[in-house]
Amino acid sequence: MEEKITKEFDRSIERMMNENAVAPPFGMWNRISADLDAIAPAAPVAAPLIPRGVLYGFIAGASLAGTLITGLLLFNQSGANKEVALLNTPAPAVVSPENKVSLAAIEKGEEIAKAVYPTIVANNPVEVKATVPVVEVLATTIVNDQKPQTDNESNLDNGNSGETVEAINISSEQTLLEMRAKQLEASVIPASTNAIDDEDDEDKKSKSSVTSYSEKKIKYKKRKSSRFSYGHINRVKRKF
Amino acid sequence: MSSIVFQGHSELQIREGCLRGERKFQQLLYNMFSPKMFAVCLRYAPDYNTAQDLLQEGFVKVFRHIEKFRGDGSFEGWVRRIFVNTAIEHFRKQVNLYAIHDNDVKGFEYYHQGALETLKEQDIMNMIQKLSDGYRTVFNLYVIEGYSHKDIGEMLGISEGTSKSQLARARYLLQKMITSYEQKDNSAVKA
Repeated sequence: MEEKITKEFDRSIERMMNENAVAPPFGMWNRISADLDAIAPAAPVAAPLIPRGVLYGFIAGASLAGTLITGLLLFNQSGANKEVALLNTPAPAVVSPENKVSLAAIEKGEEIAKAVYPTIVANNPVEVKATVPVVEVLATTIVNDQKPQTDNESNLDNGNSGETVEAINISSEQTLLEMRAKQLEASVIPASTNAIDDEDDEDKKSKSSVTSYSEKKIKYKKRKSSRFSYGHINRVKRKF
Repeated sequence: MSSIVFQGHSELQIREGCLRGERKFQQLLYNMFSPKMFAVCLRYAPDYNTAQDLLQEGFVKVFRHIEKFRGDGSFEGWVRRIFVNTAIEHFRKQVNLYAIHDNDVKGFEYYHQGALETLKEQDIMNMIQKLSDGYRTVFNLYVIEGYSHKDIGEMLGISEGTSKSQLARARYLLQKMITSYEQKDNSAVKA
């Protein structure tokens, strides 16, 4: 019985209190607003989500990773370039037996050398003669290495017909000519320059004298140390 | 949940405005909940002035920690809980709760069931306020807020037994006050 009365008592009070609403005094909001104004500027600045140390570490790590990645990419790219270069390398120049006649002429580098550099050859007949056998040997080896190509299956598969082979042969002849000329030039020019140098010995001397100017050592005078001195004090021993 | 509309603004709009720190929406929230929350404060406070202090402290807390409301339950419930906790914190140090022996608590000697119906909310409020801090807090937490003795014990740092005895004593005193009020009222009517 007593429990029942207690429960009813509690419930009735609860109901009355929950339904109860009391208007606060008028100035209450102003007090709260003033409180909020006072708190707002004093509110501490939110600490950064990431500490500085972590941030710097992250930046350093990112830069390191970036360099590593770029390095790796560059390495891969160079490898790829190599592959591309290998793929793009032209097929070895094909020399047909018909072109052997013209190559024979090339083999005799002396004539071409004479035509291109008549004056040099005239001035240095001994050295030119010495280079000619070398050129001849080179030309013969090239001719021997390059065998004539025909329209075989592999060529057809690769898209190299007889016509294209001819075209390649012509172009290869031109390139070979150019190569021979360059080789001759390379073998002849140093000798000529030496000859010229011998002739213009005096000029060389003068040039060397000019170039030696840069090697001159300029002696600088040592700057005196500018220490402030208080002067000398002449101490005189007093005689008592 | 946010279907409640107050002065042309939904509860969600008001909440979002408060999150942005807009004073207009803060005032709307205050106008929305202040009467109910002030009643809560009056129940926990011994007097009107202390209730005002609690109301102020509670609303400042609400505005400062509004981002912590996750939207799981009702917003009003969350606000109310803040006010109750504020009141408990306010009196925790002051309240000196001690266990009362069962013999001290007398039964419903003078109280009869119909007595409460004659009373107004304000009268009950005044009676609750007359209780000592310990009795009042435990009575409010158990009877009105619906906390268990275990919860109350944890909240106030007391044992369950102490909470029970405090509640029994608070009930007894309230019933005594109600009976005396009824007797006074009856005598006034007779006169």
